[in-house]
Amino acid sequence: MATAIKIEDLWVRYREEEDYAVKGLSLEIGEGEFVLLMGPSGCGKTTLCLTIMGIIPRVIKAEVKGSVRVFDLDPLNASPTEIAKYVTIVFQNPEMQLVTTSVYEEVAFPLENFGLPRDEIKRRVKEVLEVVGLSGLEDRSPASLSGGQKQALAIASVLALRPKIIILDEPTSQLDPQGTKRVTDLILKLRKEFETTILAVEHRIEWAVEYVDRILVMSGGKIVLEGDPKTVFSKEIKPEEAGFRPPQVSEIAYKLVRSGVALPTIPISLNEALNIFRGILDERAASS
Amino acid sequence: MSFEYGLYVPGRSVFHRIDPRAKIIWALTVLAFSIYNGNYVMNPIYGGMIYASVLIALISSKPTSFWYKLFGGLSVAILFFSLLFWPASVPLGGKPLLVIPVLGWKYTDLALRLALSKAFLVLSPIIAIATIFITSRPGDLFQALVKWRFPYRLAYIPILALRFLPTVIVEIRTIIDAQKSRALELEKGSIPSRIRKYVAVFVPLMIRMMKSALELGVALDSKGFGAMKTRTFSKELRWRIYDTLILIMFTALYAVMLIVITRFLAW
Ligand SMILES: Nc1ncnc2c1ncn2[C@@H]1O[C@H](COP(=O)(O)OP(=O)(O)OP(=O)(O)O)[C@@H](O)[C@H]1O
Ligand SMILES: [Mg+2]
Repeated sequence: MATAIKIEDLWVRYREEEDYAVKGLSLEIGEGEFVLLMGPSGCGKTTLCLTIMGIIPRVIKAEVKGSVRVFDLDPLNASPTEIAKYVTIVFQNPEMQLVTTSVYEEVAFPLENFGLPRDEIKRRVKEVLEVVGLSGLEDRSPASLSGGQKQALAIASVLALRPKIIILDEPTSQLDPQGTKRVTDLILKLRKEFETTILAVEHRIEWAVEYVDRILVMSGGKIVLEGDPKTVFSKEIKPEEAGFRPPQVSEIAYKLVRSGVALPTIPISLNEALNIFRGILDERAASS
Repeated sequence: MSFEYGLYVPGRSVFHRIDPRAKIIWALTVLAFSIYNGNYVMNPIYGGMIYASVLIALISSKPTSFWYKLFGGLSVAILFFSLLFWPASVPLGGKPLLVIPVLGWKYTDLALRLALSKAFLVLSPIIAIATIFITSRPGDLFQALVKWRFPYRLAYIPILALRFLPTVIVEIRTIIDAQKSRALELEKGSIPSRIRKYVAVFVPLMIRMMKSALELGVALDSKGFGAMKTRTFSKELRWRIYDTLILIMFTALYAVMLIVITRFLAW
């Protein structure tokens, strides 16, 4: 597995701020991995994403120390054109990242900016709108779409660039449950069908718990916990401190453990929980 | 009005189908003939004819009722104020038609000519320019400017303004609702207190807009905007014979009418 993102001892301090927003962070993400980044508000998740994109310090001025590698590229010193071949980003607020007045133009916009040939652009727009389920809405205005459709459009517009890595910064936090479902289904589709490397900042985990390779938990500008979902949730996580809720079944399991029920492992999905509970019941039946 | 496409109102009229560059040239032609008439010829019949031509352009493109109300109101207001003030502020000779008692303003036939011509001078270009925006997708206007060698980074600024018109309207409504729920009544009170209340809407709007502008800048950058010197357009504007013919037709109409009217209908 090739290394997609490698960060070593990264420090980021915004201009005119005293404290660092990212403090000596290191991480490595392999090609094709699906990684969730979680943590409380203000812990530096967005700052990290923007630094991987090179937007910090190119657009937002900040002091950056340490090294960032995206494949064989250094985004801190590369041009937007080079960076876009490797990595693109979808933001939290769908409203502010749609910059044209039609669905077609929105997807074509980045491709036109990078000067792709006309036929290629048309082909990619068609293809990508099919992937995200917006075919037939080419002439609609982004303003007329639902929240979930808007975010799907934002994803389409970065997908059209065919990046190796997609970063999604809280793509569902401003959406209603329907919109959230649409977007999370789409992310899983990218994961399963296209094997894109995905780094997603998320506060909800249930939808991804069975597919995600690794969870990174950030706090105070550093990664404080890291591992596959099974490992991360094996010890009790308190939502107030961590900034995200563990899967509901894990929370119930923590309660059971606290009340003295011995569980072989902490389940992270409903199926797993069912198996564990059946196992316990079978054992009890056998012993009595 | 939701302004979801900026000022653009989707449609399939003649004006929707001509190249935006032809529309811009047409509006400039209207402007040139209006200025010429309003300042030198001062023939209200000719001015009225140009005005009628832009109204036909507007109506044929079937805009929303908002635009009829806007330009209906604007036309009445400008005609009214023009008729009120031009005769009073520029003393002209001519046959007195009417004298306002106390104020002593004299309405001569010359004054009336001046007032009407000036009103049409203002109205026709405004409606012509609005017709461009109503019948052209913002993206096509952008492309028109870029084809005329405007730097594309600059040319996109007005397009962004159009794109975010609906967003700003929603923001304003949200803020007004929020302030109303805190018992801020915008429609009541003396003028100074009303101004203070509008500040309570304006300040949060500016703060949100500044935050949005930063987000927008980041989003544009991540989409490669400004990354290259030139950009492509996947749906290229094509100038057709039809566009040339329409332009010739309008220009000929304005020129011929100018000659005919100043000759035979000189007022
Ligand atoms: N443009 C900026 N200028 C100055 N300080 C900033 C800027 N953006 C973020 N910060 C600060 O940097 C720290 C990390 O912010 P960041 O946005 O990266 O957190 P986050 O984990 O993404 O939080 P959230 O979950 O709320 O999005 C915060 O203390 C924040 O106030
Ligand atoms: Mg954030």
